[in-house]
Amino acid sequence: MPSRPTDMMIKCLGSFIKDGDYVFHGLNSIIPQLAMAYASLYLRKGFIWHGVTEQFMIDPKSFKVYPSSGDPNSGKNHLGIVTMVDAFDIASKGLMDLMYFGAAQIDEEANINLSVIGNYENPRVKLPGGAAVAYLYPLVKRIIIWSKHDPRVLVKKVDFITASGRKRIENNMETLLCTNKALIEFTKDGPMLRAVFEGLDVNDVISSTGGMEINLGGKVNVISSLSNDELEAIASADPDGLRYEENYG
Amino acid sequence: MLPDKLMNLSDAINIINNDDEITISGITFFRNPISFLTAIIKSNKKRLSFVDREPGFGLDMLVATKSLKKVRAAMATFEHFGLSPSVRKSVEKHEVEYLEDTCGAVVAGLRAGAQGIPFMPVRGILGSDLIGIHEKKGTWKVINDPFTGEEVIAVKAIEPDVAIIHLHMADRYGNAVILGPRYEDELKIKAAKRVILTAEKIVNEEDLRKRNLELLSANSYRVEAVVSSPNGAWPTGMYPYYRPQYKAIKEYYYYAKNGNALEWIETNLYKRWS
Repeated sequence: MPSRPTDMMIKCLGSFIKDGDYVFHGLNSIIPQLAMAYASLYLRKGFIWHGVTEQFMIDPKSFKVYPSSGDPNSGKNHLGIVTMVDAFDIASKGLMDLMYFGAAQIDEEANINLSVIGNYENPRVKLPGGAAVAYLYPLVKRIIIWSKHDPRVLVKKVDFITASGRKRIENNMETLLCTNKALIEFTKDGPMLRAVFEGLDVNDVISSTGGMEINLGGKVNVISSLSNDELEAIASADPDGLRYEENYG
Repeated sequence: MLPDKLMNLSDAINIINNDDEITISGITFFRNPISFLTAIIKSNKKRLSFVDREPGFGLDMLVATKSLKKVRAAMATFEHFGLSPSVRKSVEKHEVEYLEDTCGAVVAGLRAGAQGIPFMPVRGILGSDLIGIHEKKGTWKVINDPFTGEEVIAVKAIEPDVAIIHLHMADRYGNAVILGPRYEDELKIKAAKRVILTAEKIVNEEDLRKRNLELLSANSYRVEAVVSSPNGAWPTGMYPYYRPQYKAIKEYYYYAKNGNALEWIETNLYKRWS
């Protein structure tokens, strides 16, 4: 039986963590937190786990998600507090390896919108705001975005550029998007389809956007369904299944 | 003899003036000064402005009760539960003026405010549509590093009139300790013109002397009022003393979404602190 798209997304996001990385997560980030748990517990990656709880290096085996990704009850046995202010300084010096960001809209230039749908002065929908994304997007070495594979999200041009992708692409900074169907990389030649989830048709995936043209520039891999061990690693950090309430399927 | 700053909520509220710009401690569902924000709502203060980095519950209460005319924040969210219900509604209806910021810039502005310097340069942000909006407001400006020519953003100092900080323990003079996550609260304390502390525990000077290897997050020199406020962050969490009450937060979320935030606040918060 194929895995649920939510779990496939977590696997996809977690696969970008390398040994020795400094990885940071923000608020409203249950999916990235579980990707970090997956990378640690299943892929056995040894990396610096840090986030908005400010607890430095929690014990991944103790980790559980809560409705807030800033909940300090999520992890146990951390080494101490390292403030977000310090994390931002690390990023400003170009030393943060990986961060995850969500997007309400994302376009062909990897611009992210988390501010408004419609006009800033007269929004149809006031979104939560980008938090750190405008600041960190040009600074963090590797950024993996997660979003729904939905015509309202994958657009030709975002309504508002909360964070600009252009410089990232010009500077060859790794910028990838894990949707709940596929993995897309933003390149100087536009968005390229790198992988689809097992069981999905490539043409269906590239045609279900709201104007973003996803190119087929090379081999398209298949992200396989999760084994029981993989699922158990994720479920141990989310026994109540909060991840499925995030509406990624 | 140091001045005694211990007072009750109803006296401390007089430190806030109509039209003040305030900032509060914590993030979304953690260490928000809810007892004091409830006192603000009851006191009918007018036209306040609000500046913070990643607010949630506390901000939504103030917006829902029409206590604010302006909000400046990098994000306003109820995380897993959804968008900040009253913020969303009030911005879409133009009932509150909203300036979106970004985390690094808020921190830079508070750093400048804390140091008493006019601005702080910050990297990142370039290419964002937020720049034009802030340049129009006069809060940011794109400048060139005078040494290398690199483009950076100058963030004007953020100096709120009042910082309202809920923390774990304070003595009656305003020497105080935050345990665990600090966020940018220590910068808020240093940047603000006036500081009000609400504390879970009022401790003796001797208690602080016994634990004097810890950082004092606030000291008496900077603080105007200390209020004893056990469970003062409820329903937001106060790690490691108590957890956020997600059930109550979720209940508020639906009340606020349906335009009934004040009813929830009256029922659940008005009699909780005196």
